[in-house]
Amino acid sequence: MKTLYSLNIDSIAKISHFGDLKSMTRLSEMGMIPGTKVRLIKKTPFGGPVQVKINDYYLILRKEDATKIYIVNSDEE
Amino acid sequence: MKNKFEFSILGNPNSGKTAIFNLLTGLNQKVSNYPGITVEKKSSNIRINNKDIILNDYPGSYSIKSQSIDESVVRDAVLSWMSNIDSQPDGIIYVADITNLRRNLYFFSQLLPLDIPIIVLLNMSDIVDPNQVVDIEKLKKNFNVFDIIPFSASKKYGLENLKTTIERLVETNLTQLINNSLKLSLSNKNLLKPLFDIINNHLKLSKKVIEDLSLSIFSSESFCNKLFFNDSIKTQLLNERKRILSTIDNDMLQSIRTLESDLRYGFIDEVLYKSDYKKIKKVKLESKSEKIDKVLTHSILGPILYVGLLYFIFQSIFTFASVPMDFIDSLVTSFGNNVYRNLSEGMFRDLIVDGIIAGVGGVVIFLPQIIILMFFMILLEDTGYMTRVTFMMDKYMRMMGLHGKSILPIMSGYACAIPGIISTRTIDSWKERLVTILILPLISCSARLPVYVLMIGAFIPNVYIFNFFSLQGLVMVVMYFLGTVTAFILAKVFSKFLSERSNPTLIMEIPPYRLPIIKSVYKQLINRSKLFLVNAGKIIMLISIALWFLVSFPKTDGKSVQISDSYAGKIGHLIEPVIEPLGFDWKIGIGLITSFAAREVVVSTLSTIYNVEDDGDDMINLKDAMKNDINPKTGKNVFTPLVAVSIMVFFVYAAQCVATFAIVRTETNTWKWPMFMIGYMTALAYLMSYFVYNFGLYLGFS
Repeated sequence: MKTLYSLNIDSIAKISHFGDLKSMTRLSEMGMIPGTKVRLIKKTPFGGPVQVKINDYYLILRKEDATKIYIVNSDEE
Repeated sequence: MKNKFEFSILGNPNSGKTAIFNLLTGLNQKVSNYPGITVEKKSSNIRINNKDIILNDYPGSYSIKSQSIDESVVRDAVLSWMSNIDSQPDGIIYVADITNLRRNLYFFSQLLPLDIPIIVLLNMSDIVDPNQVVDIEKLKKNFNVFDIIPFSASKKYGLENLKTTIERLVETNLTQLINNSLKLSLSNKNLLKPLFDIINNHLKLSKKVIEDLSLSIFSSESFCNKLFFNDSIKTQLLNERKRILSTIDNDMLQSIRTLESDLRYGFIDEVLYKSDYKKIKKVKLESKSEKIDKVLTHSILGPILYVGLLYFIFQSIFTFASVPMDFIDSLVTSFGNNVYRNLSEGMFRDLIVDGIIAGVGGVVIFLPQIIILMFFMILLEDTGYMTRVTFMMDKYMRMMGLHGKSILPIMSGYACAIPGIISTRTIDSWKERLVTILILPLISCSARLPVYVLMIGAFIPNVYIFNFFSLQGLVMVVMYFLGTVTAFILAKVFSKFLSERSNPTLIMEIPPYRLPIIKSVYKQLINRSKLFLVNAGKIIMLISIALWFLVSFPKTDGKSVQISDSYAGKIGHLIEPVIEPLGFDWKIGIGLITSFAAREVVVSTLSTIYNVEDDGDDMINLKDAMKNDINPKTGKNVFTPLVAVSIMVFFVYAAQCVATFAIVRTETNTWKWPMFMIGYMTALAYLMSYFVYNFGLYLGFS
């Protein structure tokens, strides 16, 4: 299954579910809940954090978290 | 009827709580566009129409399930309001960013079950008109909160309305108000019933609060451990939680794990829908800030721009400050000379001119540089640039054993280690936080600036390399560089050997770029300058007076003594053998002792020593006096460029500021870490200075 980290830059997908990760509570409180549309904005080099946009705001999270967030294709572009 | 009321300001990080607190109180709290700027509760008293009101400003929080120390201040407050109704404030002022309403209502939804009257401020109304987003009247009715007010902290819009609403709230008898909070569906109620029953059997809390708590406990084990229940109830709850989870089959377990967030956002969406909420932006829309970030956080260009910016800042400190510094210098000298001429000869005149004016004046002169440094730091924070730096540098900081959020403390460390150490509270992992604290005093703070400036100005020639780089500026940058590089190397070393617990994540909002509120920048600068001058006025004046006595006595024949025979001279001579290998004489030794109070004191110390020593009538120029000072034993200059560099290197590393270690004691809750820091820093200072001086001698410098 595709993860948020493997999403192409600037493409949109929907969050499907979370793998086993500690920061799930905070991520979901910040609005990253299954069904939310997410756009990958930017990755930093050497496996650094990524920037995403959900709803109408921007978040950064680390690669360790982004590789455990599973996504499905979004029906609309 | 009581006439003292308490209000608490709560909201997400970066929503503008502190700016609103400042508007209401006029108190100059620091406001920044960087999440986590308020790290502890701040209180202030205000009066609205003869009513005394205590306002509490809390750190920003996304949820009562705190992730870091600053957020746990909020969690503990909210939990205490749950457990004890008497501790509840009379009202909550909830600040929500209207450009980001849905997310801002999450934490809000956790406060609703308390049934404390809430005034919601829709902040940033100057950027987005709230009436275009939502029907405010309907929203107010659907949450059934006391009031909802469009607000703009930067334009001061809504302030009068807020004051009258607060007044109205304290004058109304509000026992009837019941906030509309999340209600569980029947199936969820049944799911959580065992947890609900345990709490209900042991504690007298409202049904709403218990329902909310059981949902939170169900969603997070660690949250349960933070509750105000005794250990046996906690164990019961956790066991029951495990049992419930074991009954759920695997397919459902996935969605159960985000149950709380799902239900809360579901509740918020429902209320918003009923209040004609219009989604303003879509995920695919590129905001202006995103476009700017294509350059500013570009994977290669971004870090280069950041480092270039730092270089520009430190060069400009030196360039821009020289004119106002010369001006203050001449002002202090002519003031001293005037006082000298107008007072009659005697000990009192010597104390005033040679002790106080020379001592305090020697430090006040560095105010322009501190203002320039502060100005840039404030701009970087208030515009929102620092969060981008956190994002770009996180990976590199981790390679050094630190955290992306260590960047802000380290940058503030260039101004002063103390606010830097306090702001490490936003780092959610204890190990990374501790390592940041341990290396922070190695970052050259503004108190070292006077030392560098004096030594460089007096002993480093004012020439240009390749007609472009000023040698003086370069030496200054090298000193900053030395401290910073050592800090990073030691961070790596410490994180290798420390076995503290580490749980690092980085989840952060990148706020839109904002123009700094000019008034706030101005207020912060004034505050910082005041602090510096009050410090100069108190500590440095006291030390200057004490030093003047030590330098001027004992008087043998009523005339002035040779300074070398004075009390201070004797102390200096006593430690001279220890510091001689570094190229320091006893006068510098006295300075090293006095600089334990604060680093910049060494400058005023030298200034006092040379003024007392000089028999002439006028105030002397410190730089010239140092240049002309000859060691009677060797017949050579006391200060040479090499000695000046050795002194600067010593000051880069030495543990000198008592206040810093007092703060470390408070933040780490043990003397172990401050003692460790004093030990390693002192050893480092001595060794590095010894190495530089002797290597210089070997190369043929004198």
